[in-house]
Amino acid sequence: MKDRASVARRVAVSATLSAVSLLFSYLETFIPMPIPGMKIGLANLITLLLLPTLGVPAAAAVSFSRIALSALLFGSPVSFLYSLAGGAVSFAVTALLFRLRFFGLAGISVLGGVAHNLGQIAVAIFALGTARILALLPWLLLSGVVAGLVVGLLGAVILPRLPRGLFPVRKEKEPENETE
Amino acid sequence: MPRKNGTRRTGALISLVLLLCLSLCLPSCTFPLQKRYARVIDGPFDTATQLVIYSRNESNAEAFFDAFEEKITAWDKLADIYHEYDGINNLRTLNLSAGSDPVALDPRLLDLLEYGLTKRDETNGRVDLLLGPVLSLWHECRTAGLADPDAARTPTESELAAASATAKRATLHIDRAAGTAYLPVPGSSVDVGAFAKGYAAERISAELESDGYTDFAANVGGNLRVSGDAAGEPWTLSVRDPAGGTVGRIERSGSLSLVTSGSYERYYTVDGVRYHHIVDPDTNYPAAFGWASVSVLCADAGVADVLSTALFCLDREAGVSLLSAFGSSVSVLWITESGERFGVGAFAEGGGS
Amino acid sequence: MRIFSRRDAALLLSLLLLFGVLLLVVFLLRGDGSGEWDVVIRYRGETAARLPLETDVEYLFECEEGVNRIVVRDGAVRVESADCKNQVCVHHGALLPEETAVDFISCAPHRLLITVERRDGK
Repeated sequence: MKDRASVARRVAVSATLSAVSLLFSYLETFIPMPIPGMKIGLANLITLLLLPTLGVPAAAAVSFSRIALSALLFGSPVSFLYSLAGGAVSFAVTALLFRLRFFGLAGISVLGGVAHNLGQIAVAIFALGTARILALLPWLLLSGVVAGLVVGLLGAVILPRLPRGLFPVRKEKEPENETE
Repeated sequence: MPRKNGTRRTGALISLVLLLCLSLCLPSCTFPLQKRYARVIDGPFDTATQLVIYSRNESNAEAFFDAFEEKITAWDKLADIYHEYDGINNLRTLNLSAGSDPVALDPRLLDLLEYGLTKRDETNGRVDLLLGPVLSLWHECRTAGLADPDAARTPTESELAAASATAKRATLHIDRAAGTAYLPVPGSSVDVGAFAKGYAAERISAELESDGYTDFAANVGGNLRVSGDAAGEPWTLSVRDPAGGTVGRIERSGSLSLVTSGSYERYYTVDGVRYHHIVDPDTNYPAAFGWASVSVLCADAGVADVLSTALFCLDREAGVSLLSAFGSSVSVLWITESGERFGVGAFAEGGGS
Repeated sequence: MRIFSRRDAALLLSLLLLFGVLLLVVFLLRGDGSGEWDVVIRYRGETAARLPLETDVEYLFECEEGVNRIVVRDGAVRVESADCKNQVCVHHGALLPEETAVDFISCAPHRLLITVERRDGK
């Protein structure tokens, strides 16, 4: 199944989504956060769309190129660190949760959003040289949850509508009617 | 799942959540994340300077303190009329060269002198930097009187008359192109004590503000200058009642200054009579308008310092009319020796904070 | 793909609960009042003594220029009496720990400076 055409397709789709992801990153810079450089984490939506379709390697590649490019284009060295930390932690958590299949899309996305902010907090403590940021922990937790919900719901709407040719659905273990 | 209903419901939910998301950014934005840092600088202007800054990290606060300390130490040396310092020409250098040659001075000092000349005109001579000869007579007598109270004396009439005559004849020439200042009349001298602290505080604060520092407060020997706010809360500037306690408490944010001139700050006693340090240019004696203190609140610390001295040498009516020349954003609190209080602007009855 | 299962609901609920708990913790830890302040007494620019503001004490400051009786009581410090000539330090009254004010008591003849500063670092 991994023929040249499908590889080419994957690369093309990944590249396009990287661009879309970059756009999200740019739009994110307009949403105010208490620490300059921190982001709300809307770009996680792309990760959420890629993990169940094109898989971990593609999702990771898109995420990382988004982080690097957005820092180069519209960010500072500090915002790069925030994005990297937030993105790495969030990606790891999201990928793991997708594999475990313990939570639904909403749960995965929420935890991904929270993880994103936790990563950013860690960088903030390091960058600002003080643990004062922890006073904002409750709010950043909430913001992560809400951002995660938004992203999760968007993902739920978009995922079934993605063209199957470009976004092959990966192994679906669960039957449609699992008890809620 | 039926497509249409699901989509609409999801769409509504998404918009709602997005709205909630955005509104959640706001509390975290206004949450105070700054810590209070303080430093005390002892020495410049023969007094203590206390600095407070609300900053996100210590290195920023330290940089602010270091910059302020460096600048105020420099200003202190430049404006000093009692000591000279190796390698720089200051006001003492200028005064010692009165009647002989122009002296090359630091551009900042020339700014200060020009400021003094302008204020001399604007206050109709109430605040006169060329009153040096008279002021130094009082300074000598005060210093001697504090050291040996039994032998304390006031300057004699003839001393004062001579000094006053010199001061009246005195002029100050400033050549910005050459970077020099010149006192042509021998015996004349410059004394900027009435406004130097306020001017320096304002200059330094403004420079640091344009360097990006904010949310700080400086108390330079009683001259308050604040900027921004104290972690979201307004700064508290208060006037002390000479009899004890606080009157006139102002809570504000932004760039603001409060300066108080008081008769109780620097005085000495001769035969049971107190002689304070603010000399009335008309009488050549300490101002005798019955004020115990005059406090001025406005955006510029230099203006506040000038006005607090000027108003100390005027009765209330004359003071109020002088104020009208300085604009409406100046507030004043007069306190008489008997404890009566008069205020305009923020200090007016019921005006409060 | 499952969107919102019972586990997700449980997760959401527990996270919101966590949010509430953390909020409470942060609020309680904020702390204020005299527990965090010290009275710093400087002589000739050097720190001569550092007294906790919450402990009532009378401190007799003696130097070659004179004597000041400094009293710390009820979360404030004042110079009760002094033998300096202008008594400005005495007339100043109480110095309180204030986040939003910059104030100090100084006895110029005695080269004495009293401030109220936070205990932690700066």
